[in-house]
Amino acid sequence: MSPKKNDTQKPGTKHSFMKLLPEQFKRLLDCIADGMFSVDLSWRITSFNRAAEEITGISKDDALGHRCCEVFKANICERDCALKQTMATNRPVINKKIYIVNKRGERIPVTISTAILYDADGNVIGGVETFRDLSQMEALKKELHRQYSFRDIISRNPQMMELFEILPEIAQSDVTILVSGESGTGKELVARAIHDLSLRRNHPFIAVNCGAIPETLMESELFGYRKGAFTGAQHHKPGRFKLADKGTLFLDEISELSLTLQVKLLRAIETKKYEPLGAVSQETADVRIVTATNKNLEQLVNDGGFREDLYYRVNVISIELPPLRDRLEDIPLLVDFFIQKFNSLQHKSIEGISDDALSLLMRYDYPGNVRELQNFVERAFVLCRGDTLEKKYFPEKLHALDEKEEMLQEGSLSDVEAAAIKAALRRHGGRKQDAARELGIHRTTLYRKMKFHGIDVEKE
Amino acid sequence: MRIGLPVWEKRISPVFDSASTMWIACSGSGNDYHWETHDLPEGPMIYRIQKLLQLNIDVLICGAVSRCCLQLLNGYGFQVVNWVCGDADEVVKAFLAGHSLQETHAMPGMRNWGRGFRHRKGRCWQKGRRKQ
Repeated sequence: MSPKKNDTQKPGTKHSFMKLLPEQFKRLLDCIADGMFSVDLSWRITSFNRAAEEITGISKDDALGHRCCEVFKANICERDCALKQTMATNRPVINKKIYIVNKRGERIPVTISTAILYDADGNVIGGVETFRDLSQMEALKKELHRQYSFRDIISRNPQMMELFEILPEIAQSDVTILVSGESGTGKELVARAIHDLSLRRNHPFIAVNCGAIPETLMESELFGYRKGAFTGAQHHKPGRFKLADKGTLFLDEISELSLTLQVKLLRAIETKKYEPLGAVSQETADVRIVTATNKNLEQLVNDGGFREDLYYRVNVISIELPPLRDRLEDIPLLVDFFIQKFNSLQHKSIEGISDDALSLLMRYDYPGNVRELQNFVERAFVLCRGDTLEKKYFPEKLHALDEKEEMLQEGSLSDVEAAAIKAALRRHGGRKQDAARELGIHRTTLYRKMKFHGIDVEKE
Repeated sequence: MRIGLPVWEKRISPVFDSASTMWIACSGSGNDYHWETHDLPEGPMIYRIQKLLQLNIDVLICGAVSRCCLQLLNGYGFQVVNWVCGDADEVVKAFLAGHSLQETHAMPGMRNWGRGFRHRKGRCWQKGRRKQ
């Protein structure tokens, strides 16, 4: 017999709470903002109001007659059921904070209160639980405390917020992690956050940029060498593996490692043993590896530029950071963060950024990602003489974008042409030869068009 | 095949995130199987997942599971069949018989929810692949 059949049995009519309620009272329950359900003595749901439907995502028809734990899906159902506690002790539970998992798999923070239900003769016929959705309140709290940062990573982008949620869990384990994302998206910050949240936080975090060290030196950098290993090796030198012992080794741009070194790295990760150059015995290092790349490693594996076995070894958990152009909503937060940072570093007291300047920054697509934005703000900081970062302090390429947009708003083809000529002349300080080259027209054509549109270099 | 089920009172635990006991149905060829029982650790989710890794589970059949936990499970390469409820024994029998648990043992209101993942292999978080 399938247990499902038992599940779908409707509650016994004798103790059905619904039957005891007048229709008006049921309607009243549907009007309240708090979720409410009642159960009979076999923990099957006998009433389920409209707010309960909204909060759990489960309809009343689906809920009635089923076990409350399989409908409500709270973290306390199994070990610490509040209704059970109330039934056992005859005391209500008031405003206990728990979470439930809704239909979309979201953890919804709620507070619950419980009470016992009696019939007219005073017999216990079940229990009632009310619950209040706290998710909006939690979101507001986050807004108030500006909890859009995680360690030094700042974002309000949903994908990044999801990463913030999952990062502490990932950090607790010792698995190898591959962080991928375009240059400047903050891969090292993520690696540092993982280290800071891990049990290895009191041991070293060693970062190595595999693309910045010549191939010939990479092996000695990673594994170290013994005195006399090669000409000039006058004493022992510990490698990065040794330095990161009991801590975390961050290998940035791992795709730049040579195939020969990839074999040695794989061996070191798998066996936790390595051989320094010139050594006769192996050394051990207890190191957690975090790697990063701005390339598509899977593609590199297919092209033969990266070993497949090493790829699977480093890609146990993969974290992908979105580029800044896909999370433009972060720009105001990031600008604010950089202003505070540079105020403190450069002993200035810039108060903020003008609306014009911010809108200029929002229109750019940031091939260099957050690092490029940081450079823009730093540049503006150096040039700024007032207390607000104005549009004029930001680089010319951002203004070019602005001008293009202005041109598009001008309307007619003739207007667009005139605006393009004016902008080019402005960019080149009135030098017609350079402006004509940029516009892709001959100098004499430029003269002709300037005359036609009545453009005066002196005025421009 | 080793099929893991978080179990409470002989039924699938309502929420995997807070489940305390894991039953494992070890099946050979055919539909015969025997049970193993293990405790799941409390604390960070990662401890729970490490335990599952130790238990060498091929498939995890569970009730509700939060999205962040599901991402971790997928990240570690587990095949997850979630939103399932009912008697553990019945669920395993149905699974081994090739029935869609989404049809026969779905949690209330979850019938055919997220249909199509029944045979999906676990993937690393966002775009990785299962560790070989």
